[in-house]
Amino acid sequence: MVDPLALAAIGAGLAIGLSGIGSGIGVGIAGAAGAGVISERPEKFGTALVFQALPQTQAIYGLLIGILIMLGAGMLGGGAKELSEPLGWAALGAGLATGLAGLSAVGQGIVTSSGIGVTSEKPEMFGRGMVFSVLPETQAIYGLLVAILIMAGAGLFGGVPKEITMTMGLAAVGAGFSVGFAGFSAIGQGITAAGGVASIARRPETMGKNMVFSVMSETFAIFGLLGAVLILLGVKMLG
Amino acid sequence: MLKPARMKKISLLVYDNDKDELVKKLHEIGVLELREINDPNVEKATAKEELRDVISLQMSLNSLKDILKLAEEKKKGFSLPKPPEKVKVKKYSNTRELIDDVRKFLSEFENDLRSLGRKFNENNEKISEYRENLKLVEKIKDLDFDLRYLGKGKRVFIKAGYVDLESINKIKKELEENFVVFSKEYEDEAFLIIIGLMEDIDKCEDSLRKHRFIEIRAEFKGKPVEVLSELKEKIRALEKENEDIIAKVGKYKDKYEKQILAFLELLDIEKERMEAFNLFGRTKRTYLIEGYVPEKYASNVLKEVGKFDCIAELKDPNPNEDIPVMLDNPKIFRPFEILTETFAPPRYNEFDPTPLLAIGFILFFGIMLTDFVYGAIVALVGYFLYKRLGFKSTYRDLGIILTASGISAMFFGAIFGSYLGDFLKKIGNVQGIIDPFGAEPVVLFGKELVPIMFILVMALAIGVLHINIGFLLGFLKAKNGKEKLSKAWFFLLEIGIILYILGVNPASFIFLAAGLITVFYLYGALGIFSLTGLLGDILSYARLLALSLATSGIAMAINILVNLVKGIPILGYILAPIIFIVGHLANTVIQTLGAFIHSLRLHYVEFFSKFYEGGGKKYNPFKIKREYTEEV
Repeated sequence: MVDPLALAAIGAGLAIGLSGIGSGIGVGIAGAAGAGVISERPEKFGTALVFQALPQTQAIYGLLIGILIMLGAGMLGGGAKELSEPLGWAALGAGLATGLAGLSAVGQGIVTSSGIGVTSEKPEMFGRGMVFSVLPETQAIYGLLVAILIMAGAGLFGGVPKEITMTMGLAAVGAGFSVGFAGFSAIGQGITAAGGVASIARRPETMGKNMVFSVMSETFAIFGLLGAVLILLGVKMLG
Repeated sequence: MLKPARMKKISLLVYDNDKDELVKKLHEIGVLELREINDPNVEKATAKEELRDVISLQMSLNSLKDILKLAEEKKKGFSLPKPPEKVKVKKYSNTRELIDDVRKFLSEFENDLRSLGRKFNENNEKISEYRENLKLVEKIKDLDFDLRYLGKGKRVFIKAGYVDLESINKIKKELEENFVVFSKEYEDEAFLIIIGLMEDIDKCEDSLRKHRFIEIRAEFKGKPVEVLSELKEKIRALEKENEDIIAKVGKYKDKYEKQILAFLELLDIEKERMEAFNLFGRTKRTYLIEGYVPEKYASNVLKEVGKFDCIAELKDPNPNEDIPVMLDNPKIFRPFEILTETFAPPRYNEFDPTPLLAIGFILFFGIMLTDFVYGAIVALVGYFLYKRLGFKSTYRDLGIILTASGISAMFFGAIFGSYLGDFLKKIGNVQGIIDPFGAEPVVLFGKELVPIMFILVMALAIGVLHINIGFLLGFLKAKNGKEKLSKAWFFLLEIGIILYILGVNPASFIFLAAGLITVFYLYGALGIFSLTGLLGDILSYARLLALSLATSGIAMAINILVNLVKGIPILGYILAPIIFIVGHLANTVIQTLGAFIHSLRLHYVEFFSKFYEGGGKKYNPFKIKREYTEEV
């Protein structure tokens, strides 16, 4: 028997830590582009900073789920709850889903760096650069979604936790892997979208086609999400 | 409202004697987009000769404007832009008159101001030269050696300068045979004085060049200390002189700048009007003008041009032409046009999605920001932009968008009971209708759902509705059967699924099969991607829930943190309010940014892809643009 509280703690740690890696690298890539741009055009500092803020979202999602897990497991605010071991595993799964999918921030950083570069030359590209920059965030949102489904299924949002079986708990970990690893597709998407931003800067009318290229990588994230939802449905954790 | 404004093509044939007045009138009405006449049978008109004068005057004025920038005060911190003050100008009857006026104006001050500018630049050059010298002499200020001896005489030369520390020994070895060498080593480089006979100077210079010798070439008099203080004195004097120049330029700036800007604008208007002639065609006695005019202004244009010696013809434009696109929305939707245009303006015969975008954007933004207080902050910022910076159309539009979106966020914040996260819930037990993090189940279609699942279902339902609208518009827009099918498969599948859920079974399978067959008929094996794509589109609306949870979740985290910190004795009372204010403000900024772009994304990616192409050419009328002047 593994201590459920410890499992939940690991889950919270993974959620915050892994997504921290993603956002850290993503923000770093964007920041380098910003530094390059302001050496030529110091007045572009503000614009670059707005772009740089985008890949931070993943760390925020990670922090959110981390805190929700801690609250659900009674680690924060209020006495510890009686958790069963499967619930601990479920919390771990939720943490993995958000944490791994949070690495999508790397892809987002790649697009934002392209957005920063292009906007410095063509300010009118700001809106489009922004839209392309949020494409690789979908993966993080899917991760967050699965984490919420798991936690709702395990009754980890306030109230009395549900009775779930060991199979369900471990299946939640599997679901976390499915959506989490598929979230890496955001890195590919980021590379495509970065190219797309550069392409639109030269030919604005290619916006739609570049969108099609960029959204293609999302297919695999959808597979991951689908896998996660099917797993959770299969072990009757939803509804 | 559903499509861009309808346009008419207008052709005008005007007599020589009335052409200038007519073009001026068209410029004033400002609703005609001119088109170049490209008929090989029609001779092209050309701009009037005064154009050259206008351009050269603009160049003069611009260069004077640059000189006036010397007196610009360095911006201290952040200040809001102000609307430009308008200069009252008289009505000029012809270009010549304006040109003469500008020349007269320039003769008042141009030479004086230019010589000030020139003097300022010369002084700056001198200052930087002196600074270079200062650097050379600074290091050797302790040396007791009069620099006036440097140079070449009839028989002897004396050189001084610097080399790298590494080269000093090599250089000495090479030179000491034929020359007298004094050296002194400093931290980063060495100073050398070399004395030799003129006949050997080439040998000396070759060797010095090899070791990258930096020679002191300027002619100094006196010992380094004296030279140093003299240089500093000179620099100070020049800087003082430049300050005086700036003060003088400042006076010119106060007196003339507004007028310069006003004249520049008038010349610009004049130039645009003259250059328009390049687009016209001509015969011996007439000029031919062509362009597009929005239908609703057409009668007014006809009435106005009727007063001139001209023939006008109005017809429907040929749909194959690149007809300019003017968005034509009711006033409340107009600010949202910039969001449509950021994607791409619609084509002439396409739906203008702006009204739908406006409604969807406000709704989505509200759901994603979901906090009463955050929403209020956004609305206030929006209102501030509208009120204070509204003289710029971008700020005005953005201000209105933010105000509306902020109010929407306040509404959803109240529904979810989110006031700075769970702050009011904890303190005053203020409850919303649904608590996203609560456990109280919501009943939907006889099924109990945790609130969070309920919101998820709602978010996806909104997504399905949104995508339905998109496909419907696409279906209506489609021109031929195949295009119609490419939108219809979605409805077939949807009806099949609904029937299946309702239990109408044989029928449901027929619709599902029909839908699937259509997909694979249209796209072959790749059809599978259409299906996953559709699934992805719907699931993508889960971000409505995700971002709303992120807002209130992070707000909650900040409140928890504040509570933890509050427990620390004494220090807690300082830290807690700081974390509270900074944390919530930062969260507002980040979440607002997120809500804004993700609302846009849902429209651009998921919604527009179903029916919208864009790529029309924006309507750009021949119109007088005044920012700095006002005619009286």
